[in-house]
Amino acid sequence: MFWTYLYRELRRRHRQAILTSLGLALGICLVVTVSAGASGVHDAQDQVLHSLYGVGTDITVTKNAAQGTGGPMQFGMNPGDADQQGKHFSRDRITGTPGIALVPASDVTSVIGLQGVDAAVGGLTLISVHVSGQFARVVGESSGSFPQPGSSGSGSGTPTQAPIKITSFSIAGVDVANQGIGPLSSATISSGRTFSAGEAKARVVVLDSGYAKQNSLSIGETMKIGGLKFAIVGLSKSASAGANVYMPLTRAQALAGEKGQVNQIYVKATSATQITQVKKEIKATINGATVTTAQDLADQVSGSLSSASKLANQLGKWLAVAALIAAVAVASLLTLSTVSRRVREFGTLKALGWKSRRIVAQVLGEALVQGLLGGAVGVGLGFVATVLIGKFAPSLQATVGSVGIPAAQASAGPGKFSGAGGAMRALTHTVTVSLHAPISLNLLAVAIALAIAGGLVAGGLGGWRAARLSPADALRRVD
Amino acid sequence: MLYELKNVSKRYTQSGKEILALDDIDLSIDAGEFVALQGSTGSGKTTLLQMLGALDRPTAGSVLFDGSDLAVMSESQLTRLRSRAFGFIFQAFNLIPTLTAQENVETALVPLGMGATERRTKARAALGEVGLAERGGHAPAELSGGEQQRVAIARALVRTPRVILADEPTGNLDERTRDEIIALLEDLWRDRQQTIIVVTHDSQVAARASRRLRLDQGRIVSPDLLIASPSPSASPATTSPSPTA
Repeated sequence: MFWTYLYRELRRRHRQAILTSLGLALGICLVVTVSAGASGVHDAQDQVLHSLYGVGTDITVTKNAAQGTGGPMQFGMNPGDADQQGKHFSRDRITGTPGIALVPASDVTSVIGLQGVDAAVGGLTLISVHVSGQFARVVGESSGSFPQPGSSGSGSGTPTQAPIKITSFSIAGVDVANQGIGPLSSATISSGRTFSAGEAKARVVVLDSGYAKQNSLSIGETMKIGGLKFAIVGLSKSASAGANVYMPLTRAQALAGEKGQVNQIYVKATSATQITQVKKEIKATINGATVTTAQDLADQVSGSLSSASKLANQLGKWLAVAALIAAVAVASLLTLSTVSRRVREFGTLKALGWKSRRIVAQVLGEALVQGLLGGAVGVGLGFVATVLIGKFAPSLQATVGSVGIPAAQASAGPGKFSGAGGAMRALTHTVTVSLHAPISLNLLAVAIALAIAGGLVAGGLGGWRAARLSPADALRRVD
Repeated sequence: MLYELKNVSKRYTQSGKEILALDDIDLSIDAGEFVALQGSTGSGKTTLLQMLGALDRPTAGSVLFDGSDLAVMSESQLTRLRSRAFGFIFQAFNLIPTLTAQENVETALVPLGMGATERRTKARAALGEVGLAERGGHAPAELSGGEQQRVAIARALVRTPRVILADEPTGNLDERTRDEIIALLEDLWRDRQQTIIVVTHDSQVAARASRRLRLDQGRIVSPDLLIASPSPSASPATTSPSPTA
């Protein structure tokens, strides 16, 4: 009798039942779409962050360079003797990333020994700048000597414009014994191979595939870095603008003349719950260290991805909640209206000896079926919406500063290296990601649970109303 | 004595005004009686019927049914009593529109916890008793007024109640159908000694009862007209008045 009565009743007022279900479906659809979209944005952010310092790296440690250290690169473009004027020259300079200080590799060992640390490796990021061209000539006064900086110019000639070519590329030194964390862990080897554990001192490099293509370099060839030839053994692909060249850490240290020094420490915690504690301990262990976690970087992300994230979290979330509440409210009102129209019917059943809870169960059952129907349609609509998002959503960009350097600071002005703009850009990472909106099993379960809850709320209110009916009052009422 | 009402009053509030529906009623009804309650609109006859059918409680007084006071019973006790002891027939038939005639009769058996097969069998038999054995699969909208009321009577009879309570059972019927229905009720009274209490405006219906009570402003005002109890061979209605309780 229960299912017969339920089915017949829903069939009788099928228009209202469909309207109620559609209302719930709309609310569920919005919840599914916004949650899937937020999840997709979260995945995109993870992708951005992972591309920065690799999957498996929870914390990066750097140290800001002290004020007054560093200074401009010297390329010796002053020809010196007159017979050098007009002649070709070529200079290479390899230096550490500006603004980041070097720390001894023993600090890595100290970090490994901290509680909550699963693994830690050191890294060295460098910039190689190549300057080539012609020495300037002096014309005019007979001294032939090249004007010195600070001179008044009297008694000296005027130097001509000398054509100079400046190229640069970034280098990342990789601990070949532990490549699971560190700068290369965020990249995939698209051809060739990565380093083997025995190549700590080998003159081998893995190139970023985009850089290799740009400079017509391929596996098996060699490239000159710091006057030395390195064999190209592999090409890598990274979602973000990683280094152009990866080489064993020992080699990078030798090139920079900084044996036993690193300027990045990559740390993996034993679990996510340990990260905050590990961060504290590293700060206490390494004086002046800048310790950055994934959450810190997430807070620095700017760009359209960041805007999408805020939109999903704030406006999107509240919109979905508001829509769901409205849908449940409409369903409840419609159910109450239905109960009001069936007062005589329920009064008759009570007169026949039906218990209130039996009548409440009937009302609840009808509301629940509508809720489940609305949930199914809502999930279906949400699925379609997420597919459309994946198909038509524009790519989003995220910009995040290099570890320890906020994006705003890192991208502020050319600094002293106006000729090495490409190197400066390596301090910020701009990643382009495609937005997807994945629907997980958890989200499906939540959507169905919300639909059931919506049905129960609507049915509960209607059932409460029906239960309160006195059979005498119900039969006294005129339809 | 099946019913004994003592000092029964009923007040309720409607649109902010207090209504005195029943005013200090004393009444006794024996098993096997066919009682007609008459009176103008608002006289309290439907309210009295609801008291007798355990659909409502008095504000004051006691309503003894088979020795138990309905006024002090819990809601669950009253519900149980209604499911077993009473059968109701309403002016508007009050059939569930989405259920067939047979399913409507079955609704009276649902509270008894009966299995589906047994329910269906009993419902079919009850419909047969009122001459609707072939119409069990039809929805109320497909039945005439008289047929719908027969279904309601079958629903009232299916669980063999102690009392049948009918509120204007012929109010929505034409003359011919009215006669059919009242003849059906009279047959039940005569053949089964069924206790029947009917609220009616219709004097033709009241004439068939063994006892007529007239209510006015919540009080029983008219002399109790008692007709001899029926036997299978008895002819209808000779009255000998006796004073009301």
